[in-house]
Amino acid sequence: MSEGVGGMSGKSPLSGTGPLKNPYGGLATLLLALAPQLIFLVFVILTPISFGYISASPANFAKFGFDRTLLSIFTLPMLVIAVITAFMIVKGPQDYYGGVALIALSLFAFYASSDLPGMRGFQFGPGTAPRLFSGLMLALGIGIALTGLLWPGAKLERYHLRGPLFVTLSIITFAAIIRPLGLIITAFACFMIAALGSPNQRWVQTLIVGIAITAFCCFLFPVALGLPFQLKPRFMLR
Amino acid sequence: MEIFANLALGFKVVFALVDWTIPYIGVTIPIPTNILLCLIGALVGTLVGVLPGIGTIATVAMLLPITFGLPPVGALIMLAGIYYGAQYGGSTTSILVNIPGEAGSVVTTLDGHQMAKQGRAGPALAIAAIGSFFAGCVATVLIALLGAPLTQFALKFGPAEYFSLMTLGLVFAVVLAKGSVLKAIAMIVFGLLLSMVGSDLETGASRMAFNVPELADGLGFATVAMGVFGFAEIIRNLDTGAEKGRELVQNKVTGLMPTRADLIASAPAVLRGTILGSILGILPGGGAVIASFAAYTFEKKIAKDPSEFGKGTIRGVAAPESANNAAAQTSFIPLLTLGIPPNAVMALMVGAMTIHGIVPGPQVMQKQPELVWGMIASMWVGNLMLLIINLPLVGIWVQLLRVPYHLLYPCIVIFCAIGIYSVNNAPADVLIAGAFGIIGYWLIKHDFEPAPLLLGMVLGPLMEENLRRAMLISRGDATVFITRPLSGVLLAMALALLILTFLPMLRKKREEVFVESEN
Repeated sequence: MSEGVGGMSGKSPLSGTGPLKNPYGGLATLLLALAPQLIFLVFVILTPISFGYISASPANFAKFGFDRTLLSIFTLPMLVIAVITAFMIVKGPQDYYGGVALIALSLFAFYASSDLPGMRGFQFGPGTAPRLFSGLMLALGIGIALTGLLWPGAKLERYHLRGPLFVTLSIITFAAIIRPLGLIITAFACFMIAALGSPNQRWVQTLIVGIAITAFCCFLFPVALGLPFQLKPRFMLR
Repeated sequence: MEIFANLALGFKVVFALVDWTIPYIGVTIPIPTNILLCLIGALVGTLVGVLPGIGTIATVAMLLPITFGLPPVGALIMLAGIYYGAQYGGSTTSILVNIPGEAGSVVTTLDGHQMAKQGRAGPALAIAAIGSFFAGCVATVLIALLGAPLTQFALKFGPAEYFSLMTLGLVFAVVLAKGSVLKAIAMIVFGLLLSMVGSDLETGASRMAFNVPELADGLGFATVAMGVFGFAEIIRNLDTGAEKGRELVQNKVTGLMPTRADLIASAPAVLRGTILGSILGILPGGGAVIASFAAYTFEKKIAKDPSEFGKGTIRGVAAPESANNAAAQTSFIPLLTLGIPPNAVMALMVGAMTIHGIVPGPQVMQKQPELVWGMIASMWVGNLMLLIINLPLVGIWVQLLRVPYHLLYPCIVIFCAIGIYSVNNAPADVLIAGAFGIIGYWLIKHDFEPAPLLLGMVLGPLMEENLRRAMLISRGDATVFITRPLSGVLLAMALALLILTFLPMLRKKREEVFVESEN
């Protein structure tokens, strides 16, 4: 799940001076190359404050991040691509970075399925099909990236931060507190966090709608539909 | 006549009365539960489908949990109702707000919204409903006609044939997808890879799950669908400022009924749309999207005055809407007879069936006829419901569209989250859907179509299973896919289709069909 996210940090790549023609594109690809390690690092940092949801220790990080299989299958090829990117003028950035992300994805899938046994005689092993499709994906990724490199194409679209940030935050909050705090608090909190994603809120109005929706959810799902939702926080039930 | 007997059985199931005692009063009255479920499904489906940024797939995925507590037949009937409701809801927003609820109703915006601006929203909505109903009737008969013989045919299929058929389906999906062929194939392969996560079918080995217990069972299809089609759409709408783009027709919708001239003008268009849609819907991997585009293009090609199109001609609404609905309905055929879901919505249906312990395929047709025929009959009833209930309710849908997006989208986020959570009661599923929301947002920004991804994800396990089985039976001889006649023909068709797509001449034609919507 990491790779698709990693590649999105591209602002419209400015063409630099000197031999480095595309420093920002190179940097974005570099981040993508280091994405597994970086994401694992985030998990390590989040471990103490995640109430036991995440358990990633620094020792695990060293084992995962410097794993030779990962370095040779994923990191090294991606670093090469990052260097190439930095020295290239990309004519169709939308396709090029899309293709690069697909390459990253396929390499990561190769790594993820590298511990699985392959063909045994004429019989397929569990690793055969994943590697087959990873290979296909790699070829397609290279094809799309080359298209973007050599032929003029669409520019990158602008990414916005506010909407994705608060919607994601709301989703994470939901997952974190639905079990311990129950539906009433969760629904209301998530509504308000998600609402932060739009600059057009008038807060009194939003508050009223939030309360109404919370009430509606608490009636609809546990009562009307009979789904097993716990309404109140766990500590109030004891 | 077997068909009539089958259809009669279906309608008996749909109209079945269940005695119900009113609590506290003690009077027992017979009520048609299945009809009521279909009605509620159609209503709720329209209600959610009307909301901007929620297409058919997200609607069905979101409403899946509300059918869990029902008996299998009732649940499937309700889901069918939701599906048609969502489709119709999508058309309503296309016509009234110029925002297509889903890809299948993009072309409806072209003439539908123009009609609405001219104060003829009523006739446009009515023709959409009438056209859909007619298409639904024809498609229902078609399903009844083709169901039994195709099932017989399907019983001859071995693993090799199944694999080849699914390959053909995926090739169809590529050809019929919008935009770059290379990107569409890449999305299918991405979907296939995602479907590999979790435990291996044969050996039980954990694949690509990194010892994360939440991934051990694989990625839930509904979870990914909600992420890519639900959350991603919301995020994207926030980006583009959905508020500005919404030019809601302000004048009141009056005069629902189309005039005589309208009916005469649209009747042949409806007929042509229905035929085109029925054919395209049956193709595995085909579906409602291309059907509506093709019907519109065709209608424009044969029109005496093509310049009328895009300025609010009723034929431009009638043809794609009927095609859309016919295709939506006939796409049940591959699912019910072969057990292969031809598109993402059907895959969700498979999910619902699996929850109730039904494995779709040729056996269901024979072992549980009341279920299959009940569902087929309910499609017809569902279409009728849309016609009867939705036209008078247009006013309510319009009111709903007036709700500003900045209040609407937090509600959608919560409903989606609750919907995903209630499938397995797993908070991790919500997180996975959130991650796929961001991936989906990225895909949209890089012009990748998410629909083929879902299809790949659905067909992945089926394809792998059949591929492995075929190789095992033939003792490692890969030529079995070519030497078995049926399988060979299917693969040859797939190859020919793929080559044709890359031919420059046809490539231009294919682009032409889709470009219609952009200008």
